[in-house]
Amino acid sequence: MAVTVDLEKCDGSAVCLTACAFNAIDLLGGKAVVYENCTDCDACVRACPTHAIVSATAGSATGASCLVVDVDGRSGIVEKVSRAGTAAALEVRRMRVSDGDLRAAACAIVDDARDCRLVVLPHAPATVAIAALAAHGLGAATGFGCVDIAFDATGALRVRRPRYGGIVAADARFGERCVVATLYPRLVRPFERSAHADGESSVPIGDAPPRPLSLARTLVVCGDDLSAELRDVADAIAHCFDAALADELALPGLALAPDLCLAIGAEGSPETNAAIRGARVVVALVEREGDAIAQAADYVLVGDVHENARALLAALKS
Amino acid sequence: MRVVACVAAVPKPAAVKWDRFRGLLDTQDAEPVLNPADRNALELAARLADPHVGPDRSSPSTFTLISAGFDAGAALREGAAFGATRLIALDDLGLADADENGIAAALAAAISHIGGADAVFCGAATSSYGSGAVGGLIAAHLNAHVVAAVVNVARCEAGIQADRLSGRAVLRRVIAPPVVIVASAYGVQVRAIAPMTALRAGRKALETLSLADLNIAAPLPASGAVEIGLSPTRGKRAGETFAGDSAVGAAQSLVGALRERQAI
Repeated sequence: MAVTVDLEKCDGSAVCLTACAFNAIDLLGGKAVVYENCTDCDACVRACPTHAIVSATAGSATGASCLVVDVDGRSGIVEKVSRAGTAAALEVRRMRVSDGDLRAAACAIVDDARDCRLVVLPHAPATVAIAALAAHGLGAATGFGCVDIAFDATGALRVRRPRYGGIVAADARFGERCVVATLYPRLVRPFERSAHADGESSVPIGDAPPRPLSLARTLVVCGDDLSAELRDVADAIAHCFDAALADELALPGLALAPDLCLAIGAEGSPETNAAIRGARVVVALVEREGDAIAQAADYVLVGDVHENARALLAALKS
Repeated sequence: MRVVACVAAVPKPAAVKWDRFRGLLDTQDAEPVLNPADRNALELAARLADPHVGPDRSSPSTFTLISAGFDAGAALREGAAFGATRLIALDDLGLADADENGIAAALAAAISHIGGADAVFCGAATSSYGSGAVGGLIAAHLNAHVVAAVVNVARCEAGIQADRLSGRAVLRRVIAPPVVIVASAYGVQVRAIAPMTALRAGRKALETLSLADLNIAAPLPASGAVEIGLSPTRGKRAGETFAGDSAVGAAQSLVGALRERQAI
């Protein structure tokens, strides 16, 4: 933690609380205090209207680092990038931007990433545009739509990207230049932001249409006779992955190729098995090992489906 | 309103296969078709270029389609049915190995070459390469605003009104031109094209430009990545079973296995 608070200057405005993406700041007795889970992203330093929060690293020459960009607090990439950065002895920093004004978000990244070896954003339509603008501003190399990212033994960045709808993956290697990459998020934080959070002149006009199953990277398939309570658990698991939720009955005739398919209480009719045949990894929660879906799955969790689904949700959240 | 849509031809997605015997991607039987996601961009472009809608009905609109690289003509002929008034193919050997950075630089130069645009439309991603970055890169070259995941557009007094997906909501925003609009991969109601319209549109003349016409010096900008191989993503099923007295223990073992497989 390299952030300190000048208590005399702090006026208790709580602007820093809003700016902090990691809940690392609180107000005690009307003054800001910074907890140990501070990631030194310096968002509070920039936000503080009275300049009461000071970064000990500000102005100092930092070594090469790795910047993970949260977009509206929704990431799901931090663990993988941190692992890659730490293995390459890079300092891993985090920052948060909004997807309201993409050019402004890119400018903020360019300002913050001058010394960076790697800048990574979660892969989504708006973040890809932000990454493209930021890469242009930094004169950086680009790696869009990665599913895996790591530094090899020689210190070169290696990425893996799906091609042709994911039926093949292309491995690529980068040189010494700074790389701006987007990485497909896996486990994501529940989407809690309000529609007004982008600070722009955007006005909410309705709900988004459901994402078609054919475009889902993660799919949760529910059996036809799930109880309402189990369906809620399935919905919560789908929410963890930002996944599409489908009934087994809705699948016949489809050919789906998600990265991960979780079948909860589904029996595995021939139509269902045919529909999910293209999935990279299939997980089935079944009562009996002999169920047809278990034969088509990579990983099978056998036992009481309700109990197993709740245990899986808890394990995913932890 | 000067409207430009950038489209791409891709090998017909359903016909692309992984040849496991030769260890190659087999695209031989895949005829070039208009990239499926570009239909959404064309629909939005056609709505914005429609002279009968919007506050400035008296001012004429232009609707230009530009395509670069692999079989540009196929994409343009298919896309012309959306009512484009001008079709431009960028045809140059220098584009053969170009990645999204090179293609975006060429498209941006072509847009400048024809006198600029108020709105440039791009698809969410190509079914072959799949990065979806061309729109953002064009905006960087043209120094234009960019809006992504757009499901509807309309002209208004202050410029262009764009409805975009943001999480579970649709947000409306008004932007002053020039702007690059990246269409959403879903949520756009695409018009049906009558066969006769498609046939007539396919006969429209193509203009061909080379990189020299655009004053672009080789080599084109590139991502900086060196591709070191392709591999199939779907392998044999692992077939592991997790069961036991404790549901919690079995679930944790499963999550561990999924992490190891890089599935979560």
